[in-house]
Amino acid sequence: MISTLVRNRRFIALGALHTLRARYAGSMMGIVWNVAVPLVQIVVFALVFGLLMKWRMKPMPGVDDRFGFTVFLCSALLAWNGFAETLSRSTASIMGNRNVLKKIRTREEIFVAQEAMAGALSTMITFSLFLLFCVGIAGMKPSWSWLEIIPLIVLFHAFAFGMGLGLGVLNVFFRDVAPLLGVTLMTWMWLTPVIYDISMIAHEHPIAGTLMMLNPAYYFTQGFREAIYGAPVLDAAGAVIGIRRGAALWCWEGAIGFSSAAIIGGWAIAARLRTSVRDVL
Amino acid sequence: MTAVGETIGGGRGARPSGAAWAARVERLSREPTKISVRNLNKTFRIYKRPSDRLVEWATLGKVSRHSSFVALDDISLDVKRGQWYGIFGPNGAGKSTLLKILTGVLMPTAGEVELQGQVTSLLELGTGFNPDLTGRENVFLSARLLGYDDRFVAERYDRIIEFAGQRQFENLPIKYYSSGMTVRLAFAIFASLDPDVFIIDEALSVGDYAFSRKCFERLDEMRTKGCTVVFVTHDIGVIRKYCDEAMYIDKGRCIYKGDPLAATDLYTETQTRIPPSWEVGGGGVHTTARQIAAWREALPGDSRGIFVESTFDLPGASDPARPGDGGMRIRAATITNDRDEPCGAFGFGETAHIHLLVESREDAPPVNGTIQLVNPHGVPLWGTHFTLLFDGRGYQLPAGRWAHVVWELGVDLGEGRYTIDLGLGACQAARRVYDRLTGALKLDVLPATPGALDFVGHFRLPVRATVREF
Repeated sequence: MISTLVRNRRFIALGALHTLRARYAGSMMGIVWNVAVPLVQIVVFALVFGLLMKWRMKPMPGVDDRFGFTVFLCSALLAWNGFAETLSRSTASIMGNRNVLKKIRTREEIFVAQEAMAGALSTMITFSLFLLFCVGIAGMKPSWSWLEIIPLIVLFHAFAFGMGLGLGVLNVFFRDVAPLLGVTLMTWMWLTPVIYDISMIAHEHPIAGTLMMLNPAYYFTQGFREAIYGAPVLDAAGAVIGIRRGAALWCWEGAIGFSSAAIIGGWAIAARLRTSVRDVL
Repeated sequence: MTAVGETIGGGRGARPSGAAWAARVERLSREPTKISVRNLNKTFRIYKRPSDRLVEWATLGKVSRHSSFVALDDISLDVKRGQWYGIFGPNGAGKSTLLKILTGVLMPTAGEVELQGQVTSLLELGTGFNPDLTGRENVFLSARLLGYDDRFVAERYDRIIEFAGQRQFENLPIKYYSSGMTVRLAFAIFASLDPDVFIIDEALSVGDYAFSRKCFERLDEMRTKGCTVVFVTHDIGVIRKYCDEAMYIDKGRCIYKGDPLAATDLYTETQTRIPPSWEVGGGGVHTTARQIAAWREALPGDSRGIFVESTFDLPGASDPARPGDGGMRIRAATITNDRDEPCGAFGFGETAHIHLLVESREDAPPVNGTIQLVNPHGVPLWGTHFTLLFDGRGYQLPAGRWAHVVWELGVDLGEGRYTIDLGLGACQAARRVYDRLTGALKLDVLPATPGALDFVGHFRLPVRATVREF
């Protein structure tokens, strides 16, 4: 599989760019939409949570009070949205490219990889805008740890690529997979600390906090948060003694582990079913 | 001697005459093999419901819930470098499945497929075109999908656009193209690539007349250059005109493999009945004047008057590539008018008597005589055979016996030059072609006095016109 991806790297890369462009092809603003959509999203969150609802979090050091929740929410939600969109698009990509796969000797992976790459690029654009917001409006100081977002986006989309490859192949045989995934993604988001913090549930349900370690998405979303505004460092008594910027080691381990597992799993499914996929398409 | 090819083709690349043809066949047989298929089988599993598949998976295949469909069974073929190979058969014969296996889109269930070098297929025409991108962008996109890099395409880009004749549209999104324009662009891309093996399917018949001619000119050029080509089609005219070897498949099985003319004849003849699987040896024998004299001596008096010496000199008769296994031979053939005089030109409504002298050389199964009328473009217009006329039976002709066969043909034809193909095969399941001669005879139909005929075109059909004013 690796060699297929490497051999087709130009096709995948150009295809990914073309996907981004083609998503809005025929529209007047074209590729600008890739920037406009996340921008509007961030602005709406900031307006609703920061100015209208005046929803305050515990003060976060270095963040304008009014935008504390917006920063908290966006850091995980934007990552999740990128992942969810990539996963559903890559799951649909094999069926979506059936006309090509039925006629040309090529591999399923490259279409999934295209979607994953397009998703990663689009998420990077989104985060660049978000970080501009953090600096310009929420008054945060830029941090070197923000650079960690790049590998995190890559890993999160590698995770989506692996899952999307496996599910995309299964979707050829059972068309229920794609709609089922839609429902699952929604449930999954609420089971993942995206719009809440792990500490909010771990207090009352310690078991839930432990079980959360089984949720692959948690390692990623937590990683994004810690890369953007850090995690409090506690002393033995539980008092906050400082802020550590950058994703914790366990986030990296989880992100790398789960994305590798997803890729191996997806590849195994694709390899096992490759012959039948073409017969069914 | 008349060249076989002249009667069926016309293009520069068309099948050459007997000796040149034999030389080509001989030369090709020594070329290296580009495509080798051995005992190919493709079986599809049919599940009535998706849940049936789930049951099979869940039980690890212990419970079987599918039915099998054998799309291809025991197909073997070799395509040599420079050879043009035709694969044809009726709808549902398995042509597309075979094509997809050759291009690597589908994987065989059993058997081996070996390809040397890069194989590109016309089936891929226009796949991957994005309607929102311009013609120019799509050229690069689709070539990339076929595995060619941008530099390779950039060098050929101008040629592609010129060939497609779409310079003024190159920066227009192709959703504004007509379907014909899209196909032209796709063919232009295809024609500019240099794969080792081209696989061409029906897609070629799209496009207007001028473009279609351009495509065929390009094919002729490719043939001269020594490209290897596999045709998958049910256009037997193309098979006859271009192919060095052909395979007739039906219901996933190879019915006949070998000479394209014999193969296509068999196809037109067997479409109405259960196709047997045929085997053929062949080769013509040069007949000496003494032999002809001896043969004529043995004929009954009235036949001797018809089969004069010149009637034994048939186009393709001594061609080493003459199809058929020789179980029976057409020794002579001629056309006469009602007064038994040799005649090549008839007026509308007259009767042409087509005489064949047939020698049976072994106690073969009943013979099925075939006749086919072909227009100057190689397109068969009409045909019939014994089994259609004699209640499904042929004629039993024991070894050593001769027969004088007469087809009385009412020339209800429009003005033009026609040729007649004659053939002898075995009936039903006997699976044999004894002999066949393509373009054996010429039949000219003379122009009628203006206003004498109530039709234009090849045939007179019963017709009546009524006008009712109200």
